[in-house]
Parts: sequence; C-alpha cells; structure tokens
Amino acid sequence: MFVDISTYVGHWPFRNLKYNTLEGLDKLAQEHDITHMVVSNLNGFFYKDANAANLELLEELKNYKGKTEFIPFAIVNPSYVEWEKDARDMVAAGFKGFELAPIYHGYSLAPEMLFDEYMPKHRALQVMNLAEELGVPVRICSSFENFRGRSPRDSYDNVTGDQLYALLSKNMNVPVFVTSFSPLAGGEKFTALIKERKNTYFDPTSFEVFNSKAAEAILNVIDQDQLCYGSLSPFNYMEPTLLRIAYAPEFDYEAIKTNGAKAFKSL
Amino acid sequence: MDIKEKVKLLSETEVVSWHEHVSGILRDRGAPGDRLNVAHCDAQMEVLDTLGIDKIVVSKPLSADKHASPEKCIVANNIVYEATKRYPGRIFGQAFVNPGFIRETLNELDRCVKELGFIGVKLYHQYFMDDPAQFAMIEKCIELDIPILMHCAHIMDPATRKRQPRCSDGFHMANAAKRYPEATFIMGHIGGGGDWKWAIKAIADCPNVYADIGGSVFDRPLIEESVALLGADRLLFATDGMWSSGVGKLLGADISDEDKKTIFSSKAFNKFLKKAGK
Repeated sequence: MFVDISTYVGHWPFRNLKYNTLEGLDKLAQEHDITHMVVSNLNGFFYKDANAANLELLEELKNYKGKTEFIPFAIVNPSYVEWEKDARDMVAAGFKGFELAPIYHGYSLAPEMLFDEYMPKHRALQVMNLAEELGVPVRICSSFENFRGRSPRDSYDNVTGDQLYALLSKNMNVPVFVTSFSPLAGGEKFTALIKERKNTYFDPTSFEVFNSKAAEAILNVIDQDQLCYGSLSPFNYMEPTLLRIAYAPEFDYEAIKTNGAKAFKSL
Repeated sequence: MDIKEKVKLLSETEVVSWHEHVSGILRDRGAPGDRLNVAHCDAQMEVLDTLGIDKIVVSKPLSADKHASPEKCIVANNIVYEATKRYPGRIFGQAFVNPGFIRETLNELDRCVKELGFIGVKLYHQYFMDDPAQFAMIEKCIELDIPILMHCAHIMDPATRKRQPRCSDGFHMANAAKRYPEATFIMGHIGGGGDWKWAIKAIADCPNVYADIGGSVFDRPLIEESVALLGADRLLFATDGMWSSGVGKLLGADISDEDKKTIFSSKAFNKFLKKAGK
C-alpha cells in the first residue's frame, strides 16, 4: 500500500494543469507504485457553490475504470447557504473526508467578527465539529503555488500556523491533513499543539531534507507516524517529494508510504 | 518505478550543476565570512555522492547587501577559492562582483579567472542585467570567455518586489543578450520563485541566454515547457541548494532520457569545464 494524501482533479484558473483528471492521476499513480490517492475537485475552490464540484467528482468517480483507489474528499464552504446539508449528503454519497479552502472561500480558520447575525462566528470549527460527528477527517492545503509566482488575480496569502492553531486547538479529535506546510513553519504555539495533537498529519512538499537538518528538526516536532506521503499532484512533479522521504536517513520510507492509511484507520 | 531506480539515470552521465553556493563562517555581525564553512561544504559533497552529482559550480553572492563593496566581494571569492581547493575537480568557482564598482570589478574578474581558475561570474540584484552599469563587466566576460549567471525571477508578489526592486527577469536578460550576442548568459534558477513561464518565454529567441533549472519550485510542467521553448541544449542542471527539487523535477519530467541527460550534464557548458582543464 502506498497512499498519496494530496491530489486534485479539476482546473486551476491561473495555470494549465496536466493529469488533472482521475485517469491522469491514475497514470501518475501507476508510474510511481502509488495505490491510493486522497482527491478533491479544485473547481470547488472557485465555484460559489462548492458542492457543485463535489457532484462533478462523484460523476467522474462513477465513470472511472482505473486501478488506483481514490479516497474522495468533499470541499465544504461553511460560508455558503445549506453547507451542512450538502456536507452530510456527500458523506452519505461516499465522500470520506472534508476539504477546507479558507483563502478561496473568503473566511478565516479563526473566529471572526461578522455582521451577518445568522453566520456562525467560527465557521471552520462548525465543519470540524460536523466531521467529528460523521467520523471523517479534514484536509487543509496551505498553498498551491509559490507566492512569488502567483497571478495577480490569485491571493498572495497562505494558510498560516496561527490560523491552523486557532482551528485545530478547538477540536482535538478530528484527524487533519495539513498539506504543503512545513511543521517547522507554524510558530511556537502551533508547534506545541502538534506535539500533543498526534492526529495532525503533514506531507513533504514544503521542506528540503538534503544538506540541512530539516528531517531531524521535523522529527523533533512530530512523530514519524504523522508524516504521510503527499505530492500535491498535479501541481507538482512527484519525484522531489519521493526523494525526500526515500533518502533522508531519519525517515522510515516504507512507513511513510502507508502512514496515510494509518490515519484513516485511526478514525 | 521506485524513486531509487529512477535516480540511477544520474549515473549514466557526468552530472554538472551550474548554480550552487558555499557559505562562510561569520567573522562578526554583518561582515562576510572570512573563511569557508567547511562543515557545510563537506555536507554538500555527501549530498552530491548520495544523489550522483559529479561537479558543482559555486559562488558566494552577497545577497543581502545592496552595496556589496569590492573588499567584501574579494573575501567572498576567496571563500569560493578555498572550496575549489578543498575539492579540486569537483567544485568550480564563479566570481561574485558588484559592477557598480567597475574598476575593482574588472580587476577582480581578472584575478578570479587568471589566478584562481574560476570559470564564470555570478551577479545578484545590485543592478538589472541590462543596466549600463553592467556593460563594461559584460565586455570583460566576453574577453575572458566566461558565462554570466544572474539571479533572476519574474516576481509577482509586492513584498518580494519591494525587497528586490532590481531583480532581473527574462526581459532584462533578453535585452542584454541582444546588445551582446557574443556574451553567454545564464538566467538563474527558473524554479527559484516568480513566474517561470514568463521568464522562459522572454528569452526564447535569445540563443545566447541559457536557463538553469534550480530553485525550490517544482511545478509541473516547468521542465517540459522549458524544453519546448528553449530546447534541452539551452537548459543547465542546477539545484541552488534545493537538491531534491532540482534532481526530482528533471527526473519527473515527461521528456526523453536523452534530453534529461543533456540537461543533467549541462552539456552546452562542458566547454567551460574543458577550458579549465577539468
């Protein structure tokens, strides 16, 4: 078993992507001996109604005939009307987790001052609490492209350690995949939190391990079990992240390949 | 295929990286190092051996110093020289200069090439590549027959632009290359942040501008599009210290193994190594 916790289908408005279908991802998976991929539909980051993208992915899954086993995550926008009903429906339809996109859906992972009385003050937490109730994990991707090269129509912000702390500290029970984010980059409070919150998982897309003490430093902050393989495909080539887990002597290559699956079993 | 199998491709050619760095031990706050950081240098060589990289071309630019003085440049270049002596035949030097001090720059280039055996020049963002302040330095590089590596990025975010207001991109490289078609330019680290597509499109019709693939960014399809626009012969292997990104993006690209080997070996620049007798 070899699990990639960070893959996507769909379009990115700022750059053409290749392999951005289930068939495309399956081709990449076959080439790299990957057996399972956690997948969401990027279109949901940009649709007003994110759930429409979940329905698209559901349709794509019905027609998919490849070998790789996909683990679909529904994109949930807690600032959109009837989001909770949609989220429940998607889990009932077979989605295995939720994905949050705070930067693209325009809300914070922290509590907010809102003028609309009917809006919950900590919207992301509502999703976490629903995930706990339904027994599914949550995925949050910090960034999809390096901020220095983004389109002026994109945001230059990434999801930060402070934001993650504000959410993850309020619900310690839901497993969370924090992707494209170095465990060393979250600041003191976040670092202290993830030492305790063992159900927070990371991937190797955001740190170099050669010629630095990064791998050692990372294992001072998280357990080996909290490091999963994730490639951020189809945005990235897979080989750099594979090199990181295969060649850093501090990392257990074979274990990291399957840690994504262990995270699901812990539910 | 397992990644360890893929890495074996590097053993099929002589792998040469044209954009790496060495560091110095700081003498005091804010001053450049007065000697080579040997531990860092040795650690780099272990990485080279692990991944199968044969040779690296290194510099020590004063990246945070807008007004890099000639004295500091000399210290930095002496550190590079120390690295080339520690690993002869594996580490090659590039001279870092600030062309704003033109007389000293020309003297330093003579010293670095003729006395220290350096094979290139490395520039940072003290001036744009097409700034007239660079012209005499470029002419000196033509005379010495060495390539000019410029730190480049087409930066999009305002904060980085503010920090690096004179950071060159493909546009500046193309301007300089058209003015000096007999010079050889390297557009540094197309994976170093910034809009890499913008950068490669800007130099596509300038055959004397090469691009190195270094930097932390490993966006798919950076390599495929670079090969399509420039050809594998105009791409140089590099990591800029981001070893897994540099090696991995090339291993993962949908191009032929022959093209990968052309880039890994930085084939077009073998002549500069040969000239140095290595």
